[in-house]
Amino acid sequence: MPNRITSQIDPFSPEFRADPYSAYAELRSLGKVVYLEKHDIWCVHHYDTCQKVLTDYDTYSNAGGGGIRNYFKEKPWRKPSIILEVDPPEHTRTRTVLSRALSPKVLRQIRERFDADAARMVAEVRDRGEIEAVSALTRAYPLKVFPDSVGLAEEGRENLLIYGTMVFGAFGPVVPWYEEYMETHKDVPDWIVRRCQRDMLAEGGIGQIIYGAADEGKITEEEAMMLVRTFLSAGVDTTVDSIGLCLWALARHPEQYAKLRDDPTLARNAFEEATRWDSSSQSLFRTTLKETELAGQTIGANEKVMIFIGSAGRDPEHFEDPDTFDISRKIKGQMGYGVGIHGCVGQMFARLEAECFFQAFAQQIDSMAVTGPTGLRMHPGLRGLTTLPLALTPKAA
Amino acid sequence: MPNVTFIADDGTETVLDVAVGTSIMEAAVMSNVDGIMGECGGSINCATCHVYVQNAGGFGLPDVGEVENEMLDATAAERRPESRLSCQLIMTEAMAGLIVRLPDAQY
Repeated sequence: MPNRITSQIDPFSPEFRADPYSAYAELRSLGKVVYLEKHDIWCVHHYDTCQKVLTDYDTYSNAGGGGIRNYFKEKPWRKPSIILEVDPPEHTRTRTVLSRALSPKVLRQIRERFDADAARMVAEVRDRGEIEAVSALTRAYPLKVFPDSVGLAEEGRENLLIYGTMVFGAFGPVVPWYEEYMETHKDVPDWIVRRCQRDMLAEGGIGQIIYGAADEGKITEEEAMMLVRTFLSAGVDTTVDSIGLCLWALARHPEQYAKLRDDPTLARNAFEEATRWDSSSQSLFRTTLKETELAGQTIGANEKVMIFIGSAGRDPEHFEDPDTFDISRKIKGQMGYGVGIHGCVGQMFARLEAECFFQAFAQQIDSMAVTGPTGLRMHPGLRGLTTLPLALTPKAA
Repeated sequence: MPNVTFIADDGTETVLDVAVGTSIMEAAVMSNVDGIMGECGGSINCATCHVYVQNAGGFGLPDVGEVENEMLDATAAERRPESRLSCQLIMTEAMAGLIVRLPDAQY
């Protein structure tokens, strides 16, 4: 038996999902590299080792699959993503097409629409007193502005959430719940593919920008379809959950919300801080291409490494007072979107979406309070809220 | 330590000593230089560390890379011949005295 630090912590258990942060603290105290015996995987959970693994793509590959399953050893559930689940040099071409489709230049033209939609949706609930904020706001808003931006028709958009559950549910070990879910919604992947065709996407949207790269010969028509699909898979649930968790954080920290209410321009920084403190994407996987050494630990080839970016954000070696949620923190290099060549390609889109939302919210809402039990999603996938009962007090007109 | 001068859009000058091996973006962000965001942390993904190099000659700057080139076409402020993403400018001794101007917007 090789020399290694082991732990019985199970990152897919309900206990872990309910409170990952105490588990992270335990893992950080155990050592830099820990072997999780329940799943036969390695994990890292400090800022420096997470950064190292995520940026060293010659050693830690994405081609082995984005989740716990090892594509070097078993067949993937769908054709692997041509941007997420490949390494350079293939990765560079597709990545660049998406980066450009989501660049500051494109986003500047979208901002106005985000602002208007956010302001309207907050105005619709501001005088209602008590709301269920997930369905009324934090799910409804991304589900409106995201597909609008891509150029997707109105009909059937709830399929995006179902598809997101399929995609992110595949991240963990197969459980009966997931198999049933896949069976119940077996028509949804085909629906998504149909919606990703060129003639289904509205003019002027991000979908057509991606197809524009096919017209320029940078990618094939088929690759354009797959990139639109990737964007639809990765862009909805992630922002729904991150915006929801940020609102929850603000609701539980009235003194922080008061800062935002008094200065809504803090919205972007508030979301950045929330992404460090508690966000939808808690962990990522890489697969080793060769034997390597990390922080004194030898790791063999073809091994899965789980990277707890949610823990990196709480690492006291990198962030001062990391468990404190402070929206005026001067925050640099938080890793909630990952980092390196596979860092979230839509991160600028997500920031803009959230900035516009929280700015509109802070402009209209004086204060809020959580009025009942919140629900955290316990099935596999992202971290996110299922319910958030909130009492809203509007600002005086 | 070699230094780099940042000139903000409003003319404010900041001179920073930058450790060899550190990117100009990181140095600016760590010292709170307004006008450089670097939101993606140097992944050539956000194009919010865009700078105009005022005196490129003789510093041995690396060539514009393939991804950097694509992203420079998509910055918030206009691309000029002297445009670079400062996350790709890794400090060397030879770069002492480099001057970069910051655009009026990064996103």
